[in-house]
Amino acid sequence: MLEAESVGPFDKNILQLPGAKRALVALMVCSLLTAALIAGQALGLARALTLLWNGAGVSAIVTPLLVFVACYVGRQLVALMRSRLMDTFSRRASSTLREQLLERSFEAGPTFAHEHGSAALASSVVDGIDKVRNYLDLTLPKLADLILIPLLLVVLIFVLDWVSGIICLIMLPAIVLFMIILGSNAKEAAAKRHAQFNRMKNHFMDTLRGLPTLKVLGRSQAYGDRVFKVSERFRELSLETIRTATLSSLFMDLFRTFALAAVAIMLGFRLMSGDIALQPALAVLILVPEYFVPIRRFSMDFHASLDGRNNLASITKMLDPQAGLSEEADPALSGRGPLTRISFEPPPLRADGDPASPPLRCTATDASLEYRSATGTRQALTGVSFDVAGPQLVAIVGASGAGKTSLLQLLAGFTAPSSGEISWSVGPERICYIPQRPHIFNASLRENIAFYAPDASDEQVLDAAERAGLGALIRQLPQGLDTLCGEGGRGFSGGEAHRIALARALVDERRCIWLLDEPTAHLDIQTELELKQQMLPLMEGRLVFIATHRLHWLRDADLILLLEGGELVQSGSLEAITATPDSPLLHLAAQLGGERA
Amino acid sequence: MSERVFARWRRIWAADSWVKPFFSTYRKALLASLGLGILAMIFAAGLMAVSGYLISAAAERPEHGVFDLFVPLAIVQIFGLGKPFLSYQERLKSHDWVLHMTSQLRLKVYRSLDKDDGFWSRMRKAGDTLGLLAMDMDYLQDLYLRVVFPSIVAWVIWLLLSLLLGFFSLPFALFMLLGSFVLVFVMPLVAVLVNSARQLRAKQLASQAYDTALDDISGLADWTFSQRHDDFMQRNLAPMREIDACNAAIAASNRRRDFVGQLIFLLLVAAVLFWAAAHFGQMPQAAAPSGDLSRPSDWIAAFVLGFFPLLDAFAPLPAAAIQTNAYLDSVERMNALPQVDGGDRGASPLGAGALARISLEPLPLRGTAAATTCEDTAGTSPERDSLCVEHASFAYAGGDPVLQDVSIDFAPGSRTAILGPSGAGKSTLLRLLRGDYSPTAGSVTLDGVPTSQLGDATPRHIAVMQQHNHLFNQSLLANLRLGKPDATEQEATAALEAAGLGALIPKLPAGLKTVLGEEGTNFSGGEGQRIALARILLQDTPVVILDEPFASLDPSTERELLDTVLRVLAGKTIIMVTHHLMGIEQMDQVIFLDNGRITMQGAPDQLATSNAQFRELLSLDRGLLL
Repeated sequence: MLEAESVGPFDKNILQLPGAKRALVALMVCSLLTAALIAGQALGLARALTLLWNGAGVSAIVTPLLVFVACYVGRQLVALMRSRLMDTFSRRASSTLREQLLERSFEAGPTFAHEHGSAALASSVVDGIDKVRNYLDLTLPKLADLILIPLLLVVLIFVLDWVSGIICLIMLPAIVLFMIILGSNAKEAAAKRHAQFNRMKNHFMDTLRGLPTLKVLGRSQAYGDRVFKVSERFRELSLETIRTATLSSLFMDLFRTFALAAVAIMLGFRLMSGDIALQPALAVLILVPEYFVPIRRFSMDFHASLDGRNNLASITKMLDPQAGLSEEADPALSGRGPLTRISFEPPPLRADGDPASPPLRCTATDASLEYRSATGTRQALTGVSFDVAGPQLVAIVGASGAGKTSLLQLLAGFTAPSSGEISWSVGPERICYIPQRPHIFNASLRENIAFYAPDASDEQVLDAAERAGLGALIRQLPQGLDTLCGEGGRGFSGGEAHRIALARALVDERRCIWLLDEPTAHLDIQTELELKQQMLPLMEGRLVFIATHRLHWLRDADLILLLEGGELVQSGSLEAITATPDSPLLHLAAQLGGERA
Repeated sequence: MSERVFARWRRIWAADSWVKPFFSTYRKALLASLGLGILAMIFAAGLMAVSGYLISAAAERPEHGVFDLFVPLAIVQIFGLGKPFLSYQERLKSHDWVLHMTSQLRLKVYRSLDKDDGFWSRMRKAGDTLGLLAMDMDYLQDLYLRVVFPSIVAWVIWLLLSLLLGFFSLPFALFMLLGSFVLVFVMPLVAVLVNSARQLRAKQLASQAYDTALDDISGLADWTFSQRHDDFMQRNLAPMREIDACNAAIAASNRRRDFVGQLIFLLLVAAVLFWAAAHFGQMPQAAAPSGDLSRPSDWIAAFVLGFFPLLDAFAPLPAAAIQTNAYLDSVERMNALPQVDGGDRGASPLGAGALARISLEPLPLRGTAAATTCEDTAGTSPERDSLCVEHASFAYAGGDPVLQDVSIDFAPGSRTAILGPSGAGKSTLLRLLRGDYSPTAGSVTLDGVPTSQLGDATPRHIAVMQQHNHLFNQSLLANLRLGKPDATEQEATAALEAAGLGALIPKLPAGLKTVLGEEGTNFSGGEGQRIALARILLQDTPVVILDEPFASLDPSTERELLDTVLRVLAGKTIIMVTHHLMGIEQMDQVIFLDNGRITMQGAPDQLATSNAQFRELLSLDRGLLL
């Protein structure tokens, strides 16, 4: 809708699609053929009617009738062929786009999903691309017809009768001119109408969403009348806009029927004066409606086609790795997948080195992160440096907005640092990231737990589940590991979901680096205590980063990274950090309300 | 196959209370719209027919020239200029009617949901379901504009055509009646039957594909770390390939159908041509329909050319008919909503259908058992505003007990915190307190009256601050007045100031009249909750329930808001459901629920000295150095 004027109905992105050029050429050929067949159809029918008018018998019109029928059938055959051709092309193009979009999602990772919104991205993958297919399938042929058919027919009409030719020739630019004059007006009206429909719909949705609040306030009954009144008021407004919006179609219709009437009347006069014979006159009369058909068809679903075109534009933009709005300061690093944004430098093997357990080490060197958005840039992290080696618990703490989650995202490789470097001694297959609200897939409990190791045996899965504290729950489920989870299946509480994520990390024994984002903050305090007690022993022998504002974790942490406004202000053990009387950590503790002596 | 389709149609039609009733509302507008549509079609066909006649007649070079052809010339102009205006009026009228109907529909949906107490608790994804409902209503609008109206117009035109031809020749009229019957009835029907199974499958697959895509995109972090690239692609592409195959089959069948339809139309054109040739040609004696001005053979072109525009009325029918499958789903889903008009059907909101399928828990029936004890307690002059839960138990119909033998005394002006893991029964306890349900045993009373009997009076006694308090897309003042309809602007401002938003009003573009949800009113979570707090202040109830109102706020915002809430609500009975112990020292009573039972209960300072478990939790919550 927004870019309607900038690109027009044809989007150059189409040319990038597989088989596009061939399809476009074929479309042109089909439109030319159609125009020729329309001409044959009109001439044949006009001849047959003229013969009949002259009193000829049915036997005399066999030849022109056959021409008419052959052209009519031929035209339908061309339409059939073209539809099949475009169907194949659009299907292939859309599935290519779909594959590319999925590929890009997988590579670019959760930041990509976050940037576009998970639901919006999923709907682009399914519905958005379907609309693109529709656009390719239906709009392109109409566009080809619009360009070629009137052009050829008007030449023929000219040849048959120049007066009618002039009428048609005047009318088409008149329509176009009128559309341009009315265009800005109509576009405005259409946009207004669209906005109004949305507002009306939104108002209703807003009311429905607020229904529980209304009920609690005891106002739901009284509000019902309002729903009706508002809807009726919008009806009046909408009619007003529909009135102006459909004006353009009224005028187009008017031009068309006016042209037809004018042609008929002029033909009548010229027939009476003997300036033209009946046969060409009839042919012209048959051709004139055909002359207007393409523009009518095209304008009829213009809005649907805009929708498809806009989808194509936005999907093309999504596929372009350079077009990311927020992250990716370094274009060279982007688009190659989140896990390539951090460097993995396996240390040289020592002579007695055990390849199964390489040393764990994570280094941040002057790492900064800058989020870019339309409104400006925001410095999320500035010059963070640390060097962590060996199994231990590292707590990343700070007030909200201090950069905890950003740092964890850098460590996970979801985002590349704008400057500086993050480097791991091991590959991504050893890392496991558990967000604040772990995602549980629409799949069986077994598949969910064995997500990182799909080949794990039931014993391994059960063992991991047991260690994560899920044993009792699984034994209680009638279908055990086969229980379906996620949207369609059993719902899990926050604590249970976290345990499933833990079990997921435990099944794959290679995962010895855990990145945990606020693992317990949103849980109720009893569950928090329980889960923490269960997690602590599991962290033995692993390098764990926890980003949290729940300060009780600090007592168990080997290393604390204290962030303030995106900067690493203190690091060290709890004792070391709190040794100074005006330690920023104590200040933070007071601020978070954890300290109330 | 076809039987199943018909059975579904019949079932939905019988249960329907969303489409049928509206045919009789605003009947005049409906008839006007249909009449205009029919007339527009007649004008379109007439324009071609009269033009054909005009040219044929003109070719004879009548002796008086223009005067002989005055009538057809005039008619051509009338039809040519009239048709666009008729179409324009038809569009306006039909939209007017459909929008009228939509208003009624919205009211009906609203009342349905308002009536259905269980809806919100049954809907795991209430937002999605509401989105579906809104879409359903759009579909219904389309159903009228794209299917119902054009079909009726086409059928009437079909009958009129047959009548017209019957005037000339009964056998030929019959032939055309049958021939067009194939176009206007058989083809649409076949289209529906052939494709409905495929379409249903494609729709199911599409929704499945969307669910999978959303699921996998939400869990993208796990996928990237799992490095199972091929599984990811396979999982998402497989259903889409199947959809593609399904759609390809539908498209192929549509192509064939359109082709056959065109051939049938060609056949009819040829029939008209032959009939007109036989009827009007070669037989100058045959009676011409209008006077003696011209030769009968002038009518050949009129009939043949006039027939072509009818394709515009007939051709879209099969494609429109196919759409009914999509509409049927919508109607089915809406049929599953509780009825508002028919009294008894509303009692069981769990009809078959999409809504019921998402149901998590059945609705309990409101018991009346507690009513008997009401008068006894009412007699013994209870304390004012005293909320009492005595040995209350509760189970959803046919389910395990959710609350067992819970007794809590909420003294007037006291502050109580309620904690417990999810599923402990906290929400159910709140529902009992608000009187949404009555306990299966024991009692929940406010001033001796069972809360379930307070009915519409409940909001005067008990206010609730939820985790998500909805702010409507209306003025700030209107939002606040939901708490007190007759609140003055001064009162509203005072409430906002008390809620800590005094500095906000001058910053808003139109002060209290600023419409929320529009540009410049992006409130933070904390501000939104403060507006809800102001609303509750205006509501001014003796009891206020705080249902995790701080759960989605960051800790420092939470603490500030909690301080404000406790300060401005001083003197009221406060019941706060929370998940951790922030501000617990400001409470008079702490209650821990687990598995529907009270596991810990007492004053916080008491528990801190006497209860080791509470001390441990407190230490965890305080975090450092304790």
